Order: sequence, then C-alpha cells, then structure tokens
Amino acid sequence: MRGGTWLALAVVVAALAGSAAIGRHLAAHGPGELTVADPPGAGVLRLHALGDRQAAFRAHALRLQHLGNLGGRIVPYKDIDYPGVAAWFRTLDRLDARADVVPSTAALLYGNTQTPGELRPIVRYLAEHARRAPARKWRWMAHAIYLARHRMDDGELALKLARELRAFDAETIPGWARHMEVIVLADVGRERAARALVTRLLRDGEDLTPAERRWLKFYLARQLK
Amino acid sequence: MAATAGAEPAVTAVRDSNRAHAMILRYLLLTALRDRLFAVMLLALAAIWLLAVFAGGTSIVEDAQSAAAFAAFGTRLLVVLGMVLFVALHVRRLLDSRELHLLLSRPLARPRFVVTYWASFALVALGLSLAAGGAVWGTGPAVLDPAGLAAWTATLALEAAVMTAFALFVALGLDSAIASVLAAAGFYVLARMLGVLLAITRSELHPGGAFGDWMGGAVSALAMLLPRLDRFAPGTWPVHGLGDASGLGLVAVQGVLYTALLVAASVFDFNRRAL
Repeated sequence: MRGGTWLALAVVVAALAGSAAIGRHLAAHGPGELTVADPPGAGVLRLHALGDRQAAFRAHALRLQHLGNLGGRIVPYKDIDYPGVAAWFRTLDRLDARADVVPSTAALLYGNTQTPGELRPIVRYLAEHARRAPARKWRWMAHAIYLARHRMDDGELALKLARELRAFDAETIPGWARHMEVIVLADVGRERAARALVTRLLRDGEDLTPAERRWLKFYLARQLK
Repeated sequence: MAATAGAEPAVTAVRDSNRAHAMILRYLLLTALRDRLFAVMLLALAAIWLLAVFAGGTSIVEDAQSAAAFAAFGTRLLVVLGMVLFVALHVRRLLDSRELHLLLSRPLARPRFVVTYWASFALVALGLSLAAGGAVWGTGPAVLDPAGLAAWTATLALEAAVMTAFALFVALGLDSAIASVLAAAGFYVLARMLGVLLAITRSELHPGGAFGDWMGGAVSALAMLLPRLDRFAPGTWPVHGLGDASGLGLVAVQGVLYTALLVAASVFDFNRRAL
C-alpha cells in the first residue's frame, strides 16, 4: 500500500469511534429544560429571509409549533419557557398579524401544558392578538377566556376578558361569544350577577338578534333559575 | 424608381437586422437547452414545490398558506440565481470561445447586440418566472389570492429582468465568471436587505456614535443607488392578497427604470471594449 494509507485508515477508524462515543454520551442525557432565546427584532427575522417577511413569518411560526420536537429531542410543554415563547409570538405578530397560525399554536398546542399555572403569558398574548382586530380575531379572546377559566382556574381574569369581549365593537362577533360573561359569572358561582346581566341585556339589548334573545331567555330560565 | 432603389437597401438592412435578432434568441435558447437550464430549473421547481408542500403540511392551520410562502421564497431564489449563473457562464463562454466575434460579424450594431442579448435573457427569465408562479399556485389553488399571485409573478419577472441586466453588465465588464456571479449575488443580497437596513438605521436601537452615523449615511446612499428588491414579489401577496396596492406601480416603474439603466451601462461599457 502507498505511504499514508494506513495512517488515513487509522484516522477514519479513530474518528468513527470518537463520533460514536459522543453520540452515546449525548443519547444518555435527556433533553432537559428547553430555554427559548429572546426573539430578535422583527427586522432581523426579515433579514434572515432576504427581506421576505412572509417567508420569515411562516418559517419561525413552524419552528415554534415544532419547538420541543426538533433535533431528535422530545421536550414536554411543562419544560418549555412560556414567557420566552410568548415573546416570540408577539414578534411574529409584527411580521404578519393577519394569519391565524400563531394564535392557533398558542391556544391549541401550548394551551395543553401539564402546568396550567404557566399559561398566563399565553392568555395575555391571545388577548393582545384579539384586540388588534376584534372583528376578525375575537375568537382568540374566547380561547383566552377558556384557558383562564378552565385551565388556569382564574375566574377573575376570565371575567375581565369576557367583559372586554362583550365590549368589542364588531358586528361579526356571534351572540354566544358576546355573552360569555354570563356563562363565566354563573360558572364562578355568581349566579345573581349573571341573572342581573342577562335581564339587563334582554331589557336594553336593542341590537340583539332573535337567536341571541332566544338563547339568553333559555339560559335565564334553565341555567340561572 | 430612384425612390424604390433607395428604399431597397433599407428594407434589406431591416430584414438582416431582424434575422440577426432571431438568430441571437435562437442561439441563446439552444445554449439554454444544451446547458440543461430548462430541465434543471423545472426539476428544481418541482423539488421546491414538494418541499414547500411537505413543510407547509406540518403546520397546525393554514398549511396551504405556509406552503405558498415557502414556495414563493424558494422559487424566487431559484429563478434569480439560476438566471445570474446562466448569464455569467454563457457570456464567459461566449468570450472564451470567440463565438462573440462570429455573432458580432452579423449586421447588428453593438448597442442593438447588447439590447437583443438582454431581451433574450429576459425572455428566458419571464418563462421561468411564469413556471415559478405556477409552482406557487400549485401549493394551494383554492386558498391563494389570484390577483396577489399574478402580481407576485409579474414582479418576480421584473426582479429577474433587473438581475439579468445586472449579471449581463458585470459579465461583460469583468474577466471572471466567478467574480461576476459573486458581484451579482452581493448586489442581490444587498438590494433585498435594503428595506430592513434602512429600518435599522432609523430605529431607536441603531448603533450610535460616529460609526453608527457613518453607516446610516452609507445605507441611505445605497438606498438611492440600488433598487428596493425587497418590495418585489413579497410572499405576502399570494397569501393575503395585494391589500393596499399603491406601492405596486412604484415597484414596476423602478424595475423598468433600473433595468434600462443597467442595459444602457452595459451598452456603454461594451462599446468601449476592444474586441
């Protein structure tokens, strides 16, 4: 064999063995807590995609959706840094606030954490997202109310958000969403307040559709009696 | 009779000139075929489409919109870089093989030769841009905005025309294909980042001090010299529609103006070259 061949073969074998040892060492350690780096400015994200804000938005939205499931690691939601993730959601909203993929990820994926107490940043983000364009985005406020009431068990926060949802000036918001305050009030044990609100709505709510009026009467008679 | 005799050479000259135009276009298309440009680009477009649909398909909602954004980004890069490479390598070979001398022996003045060459390249770029538009459309025909997609395709063709003109300018002026490709790539990256760089210089967080001021001035100067390619073919258009389309006209005017500038500069440079 030519000079150097044995040496090259030895380097190949040694490098393979070293690589296998590193792989074994890494595999033995669990993924541990997933720290989310602070998001850069929206402009920097655009730079990554050569100025194409939509490509940057979709790529990072997908990355956040799959966070904890990338690179051969599976990290439970409870080990994810929620304030950091919420900061990323806000940054992505600056790239595209019309899309629903980011609030969907926030509400439907991150909302399922095993530690509901950490959901506050997500609820705050969903409410902020809904406030940007209530006519199109009101349903994320409904999700925020659900998470606050049923996952975080924070009736006061749910009530505050439900009142905000009712106050949104948008005809596109359906009756069931506008009257979530009634349901939350009843749910937290404040039936009297719920009854008073429904009675007031039925009396003063000139803009109520017949279906909404019917539902409120039904709710008053069956659930708040 | 005398008038007819005078008109005849002019008619012959026009006919010869048209033949020369057609010959250059045919020659260019033949080289594109010989270099497998169309086959490779179509294969790459198909690969980008597949990747975009695959990646977009993993999105929790708006999978078609995500796929369209990825396809728009990938196909734009492919069309522009493919055209830059094709122009740079084609012109280099033209000069090295002395085929250029053969082409210049045709009855065609140098300015016309350069303009015809650019127009032929731009025609190829237009075809590839239409194919790219088709690939983006294929990611979600039911949900994408047709007007937005049409504007995206049209401005991609303009972007490719600008880059083709720039690649021709540097390829005719520089003696190295690698230098031409790198110069064109640098120009493209800078022109596409210009909007963000401008935003950084005007933001509260821009680096202060003498260096920051100097950089701010440099970026402002660049913004006057380079086209704002970040405003061409944004991926938002096929996804959300044109919205406020007031900027579209300005983009079109800038694309046409800058292309004319680059083609004229190529003519000026080529006229001065001793060949």
